[in-house]
Amino acid sequence: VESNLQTFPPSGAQGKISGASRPPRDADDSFSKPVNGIEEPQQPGGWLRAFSVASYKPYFDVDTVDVLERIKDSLFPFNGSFNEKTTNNPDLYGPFWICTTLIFVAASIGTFVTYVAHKVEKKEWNYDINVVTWSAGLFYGYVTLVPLALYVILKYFSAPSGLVQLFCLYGYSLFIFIPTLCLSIVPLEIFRWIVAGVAGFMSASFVALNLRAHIMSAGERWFLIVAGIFLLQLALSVVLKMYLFTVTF
Amino acid sequence: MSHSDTIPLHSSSQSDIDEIENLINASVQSGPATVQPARPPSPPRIPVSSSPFLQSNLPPPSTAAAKLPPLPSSSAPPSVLPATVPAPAAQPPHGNSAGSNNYAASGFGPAPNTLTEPVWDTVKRDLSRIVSNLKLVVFPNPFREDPGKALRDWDLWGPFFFIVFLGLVLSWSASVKKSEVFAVAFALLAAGAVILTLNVLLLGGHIIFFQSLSLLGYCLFPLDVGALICMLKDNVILKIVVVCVTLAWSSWAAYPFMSSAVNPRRKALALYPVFLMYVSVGFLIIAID
Repeated sequence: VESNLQTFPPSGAQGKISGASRPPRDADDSFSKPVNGIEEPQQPGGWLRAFSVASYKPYFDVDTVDVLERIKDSLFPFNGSFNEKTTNNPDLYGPFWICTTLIFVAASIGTFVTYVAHKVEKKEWNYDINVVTWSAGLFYGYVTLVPLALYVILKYFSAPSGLVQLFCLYGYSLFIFIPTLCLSIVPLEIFRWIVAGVAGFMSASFVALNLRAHIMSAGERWFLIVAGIFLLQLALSVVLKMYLFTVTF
Repeated sequence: MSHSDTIPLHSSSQSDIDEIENLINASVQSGPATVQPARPPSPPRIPVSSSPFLQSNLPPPSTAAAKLPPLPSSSAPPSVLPATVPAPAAQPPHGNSAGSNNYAASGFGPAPNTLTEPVWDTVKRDLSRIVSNLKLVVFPNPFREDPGKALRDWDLWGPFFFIVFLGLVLSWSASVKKSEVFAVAFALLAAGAVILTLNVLLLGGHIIFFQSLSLLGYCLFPLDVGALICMLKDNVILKIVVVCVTLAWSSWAAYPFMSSAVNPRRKALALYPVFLMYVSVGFLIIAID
């Protein structure tokens, strides 16, 4: 007898009630099913994919040793091998958590330094909660906006670089500021300026050297772009020093 | 109806049909239709007894067995849980250690009538679940009978209380900008829990989103205690010591389930952010004066 039940044509995902010609499946069938991409849960298509977790998974495909190695590379900018390692497997784990750690370290050390300074002067001190929010804005903003701008600029000069690779590069370039901030506890003003300067220089040259080979293909303006990147990173370092460690009463 | 079909059913359809038939039969027996309260979805659970007569901690199996016969004929207060009385009689005990089961979310019987029970019973049930989850998460006992119980019975009330309490204590301790302190603390904790869970998921770990939020929230309890002590006694050295101890305790409580959720090669990548969040909260506790 003809069934009145609506039968759905198999559409990739196996329907519950498939055509009558199919023999009943037993449990073993699911194991012998050929892999045809159904194992992913239902993924939104098109622009909605930006909101699903699974679409970002490829950018977190790193192990602990990978992350540690990339961090070590960022500390020695003149090796220039960072780009080769990350071109095919850029990760967003490093940039995000380095930024977050940096925010925490900046807030805590900035607070500690102003606390000590106020106590030494025997003045009243209150915790400034805005330090956290301002540092968050500064670091997240820098790592998000500058690579984005650079991506657009490079595209304009027809030397396109992947956006995620740029995020990765800038994120890891900020790692050197963590030990810098720890060293800045020392209350010598000149020492702080030296430390900030050295860190800024190393970070800026890390970014510039890793991009140089790529940008050279952009034509005769490459030096401007590279110099611009370099100075921007130095400026970040100066802003950091001034904002966090200037003690105002 | 399922026997005269010529179209072969998917294997799960047959069990769905059986389940529906069971529910129909059971509700016919129990009389007034019981409305299933909306429950948070959870992984397949061993049903936890919700009757106020039984403690939500695992009762010893002997008393559970002893309770089954008297229950249908006991002089239960008529206002409470009329639907659970036929449930143990209708369903033979399914081989589980929790004894009588009257949670319908497992699909084994009609729900306790949570709409008509006294408010105190609802509150007491939730409170006892919070306490039991707290004991399981924060005082992990290697010899406990059912290690996965806290994971199955996750809830979000406990974490909510702990986060709000921590924000409030920090806000009370602050001498200026109290509302900003509360806002930053609450945002840090809530967003932090979400981000930590996302981090594990992105690293390819296997974790259920709300379960992880729940467990991370419960692991805040030691820091709550620490914050309370720091508020009451405003000495910097004491604060540092207390915060260090409670920080270590929180991290130790969160370690087992976070580390088991990811690939061992990425364990440090998953654990470091947890540690970072607790350290930043600890720092906030010390700094607020």
